[in-house]
Amino acid sequence: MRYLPKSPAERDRMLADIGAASIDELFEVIPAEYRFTRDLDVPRQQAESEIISYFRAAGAKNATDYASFLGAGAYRHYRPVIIDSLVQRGEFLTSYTPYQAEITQGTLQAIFEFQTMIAELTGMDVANASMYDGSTGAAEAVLMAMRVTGRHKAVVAASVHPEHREVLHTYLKYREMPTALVGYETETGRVDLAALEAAVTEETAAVLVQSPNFFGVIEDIPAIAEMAHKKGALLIVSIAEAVSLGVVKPPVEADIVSMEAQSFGVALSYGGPFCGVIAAKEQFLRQMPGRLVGQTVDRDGNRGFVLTLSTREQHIRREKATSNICTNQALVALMATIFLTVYGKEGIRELAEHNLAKADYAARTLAAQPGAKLLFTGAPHFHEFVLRTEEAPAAWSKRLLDEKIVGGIELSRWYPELKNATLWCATEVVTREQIDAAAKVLAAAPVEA
Amino acid sequence: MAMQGIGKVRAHQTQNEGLVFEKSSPGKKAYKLPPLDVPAVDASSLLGEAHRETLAALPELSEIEIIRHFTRLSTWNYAIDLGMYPLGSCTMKYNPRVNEFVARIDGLADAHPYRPESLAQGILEVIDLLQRCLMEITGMDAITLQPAAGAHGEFTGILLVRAWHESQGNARKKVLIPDSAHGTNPATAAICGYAVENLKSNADGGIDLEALERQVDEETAALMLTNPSTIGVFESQIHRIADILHAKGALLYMDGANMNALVGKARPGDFGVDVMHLNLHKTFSTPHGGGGPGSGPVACKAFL
Amino acid sequence: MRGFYGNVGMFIRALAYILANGPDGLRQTTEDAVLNANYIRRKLEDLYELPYKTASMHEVVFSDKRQAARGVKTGDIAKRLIDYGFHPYTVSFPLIVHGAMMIEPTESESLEELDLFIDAMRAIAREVEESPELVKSAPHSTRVSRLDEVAAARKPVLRWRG
Ligand SMILES: Cc1ncc(COP(=O)(O)O)c(C=O)c1O
Repeated sequence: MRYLPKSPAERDRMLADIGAASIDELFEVIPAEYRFTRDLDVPRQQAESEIISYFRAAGAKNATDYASFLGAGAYRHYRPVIIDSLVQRGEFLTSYTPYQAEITQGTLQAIFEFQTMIAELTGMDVANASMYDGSTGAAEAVLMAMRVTGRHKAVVAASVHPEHREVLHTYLKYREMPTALVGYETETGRVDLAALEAAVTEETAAVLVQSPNFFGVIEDIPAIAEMAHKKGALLIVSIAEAVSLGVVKPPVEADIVSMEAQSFGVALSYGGPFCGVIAAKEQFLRQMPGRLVGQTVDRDGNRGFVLTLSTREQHIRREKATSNICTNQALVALMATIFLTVYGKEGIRELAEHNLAKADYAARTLAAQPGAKLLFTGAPHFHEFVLRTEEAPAAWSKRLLDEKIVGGIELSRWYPELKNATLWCATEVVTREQIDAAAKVLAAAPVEA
Repeated sequence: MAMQGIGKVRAHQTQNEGLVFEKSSPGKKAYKLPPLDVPAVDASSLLGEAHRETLAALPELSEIEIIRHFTRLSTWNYAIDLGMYPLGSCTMKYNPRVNEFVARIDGLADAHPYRPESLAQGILEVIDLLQRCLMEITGMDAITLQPAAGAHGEFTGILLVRAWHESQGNARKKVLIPDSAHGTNPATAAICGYAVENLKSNADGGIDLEALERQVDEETAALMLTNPSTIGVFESQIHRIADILHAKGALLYMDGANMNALVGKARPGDFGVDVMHLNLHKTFSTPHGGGGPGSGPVACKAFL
Repeated sequence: MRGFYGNVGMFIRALAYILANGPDGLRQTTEDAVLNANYIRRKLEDLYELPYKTASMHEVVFSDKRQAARGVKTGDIAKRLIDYGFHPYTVSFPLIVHGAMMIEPTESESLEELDLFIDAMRAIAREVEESPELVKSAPHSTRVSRLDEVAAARKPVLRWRG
């Protein structure tokens, strides 16, 4: 086996040194009836070339040359080449959680840089080292708000990503934490402020909204914050599209921000690994879940970095920890850090503006087709928009696929009231040609008999 | 230092490298966007109040500086690629490079999770084959690959336990956890709404059967057991442990962090485990990446 | 449990690993992992305390009992290992072993590498006897040493401010 660095003679020598007659002797602690004696029924050992052929064939079956207007929490952006070359350095790739600070300063400093960038972008004071993804991050943010306020109810906007809401439901299931769902305004797609005001009470720990929300609409964060704060609840803003922060005002009025940083240079990879992160106001720091890196000095006064405030964490606090999270998404956070360094202060704005322009053109072009109409035009969008068509999406989707285009995703699977409505996303990698081609297909609806 | 020539690798320790922000100066760029092929928009009039006026203080650097910055930082890390990394419980084994290569193949790396299934057949086949392999390796009947790490797998597994007990009419109140367990075990039981009851280890560091017998009752949902245990010892009384639990309707959860001692030699499904998680980032060689990402599949018996 | 299907990128890697091994490779891997741990145990048990004598599988847990008598703790020995070019073992876990030193070599180590590690551990045990201060103040070969964790937690600085 090519990964195993031992010759048969060396194995024998080691066994002799141990004083075991055979390797089986070392497994005798396993009761005989539980010893597995046959071969595992898994594919036979393969050569590297065979492994690559297998996965290439799988990749080819997935079809690679389609234009795509899919978004909805997973976004296609250009990934600068240096990201993969840097994160594949063995010193990053094959190192563990930086518990031994002296020999993990590289990881620690990079996380400190990540925390700084996320805090800068979100307008929060502090950010952690990462969460599994945006959905679990949002759920953990709600639990955090519960600890901060000592309250036990959450108010959640229906315009939060439906899968994130499901994850939240799972996380809260045994916490006796009822959630109230607040709908959206049909003109704007924003959370219904009147309903929100009615739903927030003195028992509300947190109000959770997403902005840009699931429909791509930017929420009125200052107004929502005021409603939450008036009743002493915390406002959690979830950000599923991190690139929006290049042009969209950060939710500085929020108390906690849960962000999915996948857009920062992380491959779609069929939905993971992605990179959640929680940022917050400084006063809530001690209730944050997850790892934190802090700056300190060593015995000679040199600047260095360590994991800190670990008394919040499971390895110290066990059942009283702020979360059970241990392994996080460190390498993915490093990808995001490199991405943000590549684009930098000006680049992230320029990139976001390109997204805005593509989506604006796509929305106008698609809506100009017969039978098509934009929903939720009463509020600003980032790079996603909702299109309603007279023709059933299933019909035109098929025609689009024939042209090697994946169109918007149908919303009725989560919002039954939104019939024939589809959510489209146009990032900087979508071309005008692709948009025009999609529009042409939409326009070509068969004339009804 | 009396090191007598013992020891080996030395990292690039003397290089000074400031924070990326300290190296920044306005006007430097490491990116270039293609020309816009659609009309440019005025962001501030499109977004109105929601427009961002002050930019985040991100660094501004050229590409070579970025390469050097992160390369220098990397030299301050120890890594499996440099030498033995005997961090117990973490299984710091070689992370094969072909893994990295195939994970980046076109069609796999760029697949959107909402793409139509007809365009995702390749990845679904990969998922299916991995599931079948892991079920065979663990001897279990069903599996979910969704959890993102070991602790997340524990959470999933204990929720499963709870759902099963609920379906039997009583969610039960407590989870037994040996004092030798990893911190994520009690933290997990707590977030699933269970009281954590400590189980003292016996003189061999294993499960004390008498204590177990005393502590398991009709309100016990499960025992969270690490096997081999965190002292690296196989619980040779595992069948008795399972019997004691099952007699009271409680389940046996196995923390599979130490599965690297068992693959191909013994299967949890054969020795009485009802539900367990694996760590693909330990036993199955996916890289730890400085703390993540991981993957914590949960496998269980058919009745669950 | 989380959005979408999970960390799919990790599934691809894990499957590649299983394919590279096959049934024979997976079994040999497990055997080598157990062999390596037992080899280390055999070669260090005269110098380091084995709190539990039960047979080891893929990892071995010693305690710092003998070294602690000289004022040197598991954490110090761990830091000294860094000077010898190794990453430390897991320190202070599991909690049932006071001063735990939890060593998991995995199957990936050659005999040469194992012997180097054993030599280092033995050299450190000697240093504990001869010059404990050297071990207690380790590491001596790193860019930074013994970072002040108390200060970091007391007044947390979690981001750069220009
Ligand atoms: C025994 C044991 N259980 C659980 C965990 C947690 O796994 P993860 O870090 O993948 O969440 C670990 C990880 O270190 C472990 O060693």
